[in-house]
Amino acid sequence: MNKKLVLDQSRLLGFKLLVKDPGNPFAGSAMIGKVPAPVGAKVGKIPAAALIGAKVGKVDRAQVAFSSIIGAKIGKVA
Amino acid sequence: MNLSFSFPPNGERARYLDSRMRSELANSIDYLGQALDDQLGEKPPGLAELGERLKRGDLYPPSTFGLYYEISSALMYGDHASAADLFRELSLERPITPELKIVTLDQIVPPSKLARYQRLMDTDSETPFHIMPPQPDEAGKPVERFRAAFERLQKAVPALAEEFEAIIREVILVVGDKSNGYDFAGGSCYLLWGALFINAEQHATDVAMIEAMAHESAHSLLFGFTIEEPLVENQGDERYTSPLRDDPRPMDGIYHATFVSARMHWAMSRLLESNRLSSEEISLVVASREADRRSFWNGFETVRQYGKLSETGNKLMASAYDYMSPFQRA
Repeated sequence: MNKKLVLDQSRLLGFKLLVKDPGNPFAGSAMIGKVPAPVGAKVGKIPAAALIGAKVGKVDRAQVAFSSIIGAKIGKVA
Repeated sequence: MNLSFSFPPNGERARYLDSRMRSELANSIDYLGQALDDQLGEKPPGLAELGERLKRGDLYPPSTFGLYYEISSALMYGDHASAADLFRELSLERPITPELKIVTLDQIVPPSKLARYQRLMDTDSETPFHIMPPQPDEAGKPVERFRAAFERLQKAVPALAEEFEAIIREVILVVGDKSNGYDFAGGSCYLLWGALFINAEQHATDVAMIEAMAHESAHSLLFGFTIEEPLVENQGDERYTSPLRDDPRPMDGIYHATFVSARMHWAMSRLLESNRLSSEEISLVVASREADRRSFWNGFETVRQYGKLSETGNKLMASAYDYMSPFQRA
C-alpha cells in the first residue's frame, strides 16, 4: 500500500476525543497506583513467553496524546 | 435511554454504557473498512463480518478493543505492514460468553494477546508500568481470593456487583515489576474496555479486595461516559497533587482519583450497612472510608480550583460532590 489513507478521527472511537481539543495533548494521564516498593521486594522478571509477539510500537506526538488522554488508570496502594 | 449521571451504581445504566461502547466500536470498525475499500481498494479479511457481529450484539473481549486501537494508530501513521498483521490477528478474535472471567495474566492466550495487555497498560511515558503473572505456586490463590471477595460483594452491595458485571468482562490478576521502586494496586485502560487488572500481591483481606473492585470499576465507569468528549479540558502538561498518588498528575488523573475516592467511600458505607462484617472488618472499613473521604476532598479542591471540566465532567463530579457533601468532616 503506497497511497496514504486519510481517516476522519471524529468517526473513530477514542480518537474523536482528540479532535475536540487537538491542541490539548495531556501527557502521562495513565494512572498507575504507585507506592514505594517495600525493602527487599523481589524484582520480578517478565517471562520470555510474555514477550513473544510483542511489537515495539512507533510513538509520536499523536499517539502519546491519545494514550495519555485515555491510557491506563491504575490505582495507588495506600 | 436518557443517560443518568446519578452517583450510585446503576446496573441498567452500566449495561447501556457497555452497549454504547460496543456500538461505537462497531461503527468505527465499519468506518475503517469503508475508508480502506474506498481509498485503497483494500478489504481486510473478516473485518466486515466483525462489524456485523458487533452490531447484532455479539460480545467481544477487551483484546478486540485493543486491536482496534492499535490498527487505527498504525493506519494513521501509514504503517500498513503492521496494520495488515494486526488485521490478521483481529480476524481471529471470537465472541465471548457474558459471565465474568477471573484469570491470572499467564492464562491469557495467545502470547500476542498477553503482550498486548502488557503494552496497552504501559502507556504512561513518565511512569513505566510492567505487569507480570503471579508466581506459579500462588497462581490458584489469587483467583480464589478474588472470587470469594466478589461473592461477598454480591451479597453485601449487590448494586455495585451488578454494575461491575455489566462493564467488566475480564479480571486479570497480575503482579508489578518493582525494579522501578514502586508497586501498584490495580489498573484499567480505556483501550482495553472490559478488562480490569488487580495486583494479586495486594488486597490481603476481603474488605481491601472489595475496595479495589469499587476503585477500579469506577475508573471503568468513567471510561464508559467518555466517548464524545473528555472529562477535563486542561492542558496535558499541567501537573497537580493527586489524592491517590505521590507524584504530580495531570488534571484527568486528578479527576479520576477524586471521583473514584467518592465511589470507594460509597462502597465502604454500604458494606457497613450490610451487617455482614466481622468486628475486625468493621474497623478496616471505617478506616478505609475515612481515607477515602479525605482523598475525595483533597482531590475535589484541586479539581475545583484548576479543573476545566467538560459538560460530562461537570455532571459526574457534581453527582460525586452531592453524595460527599454530608461527609465534609470526619
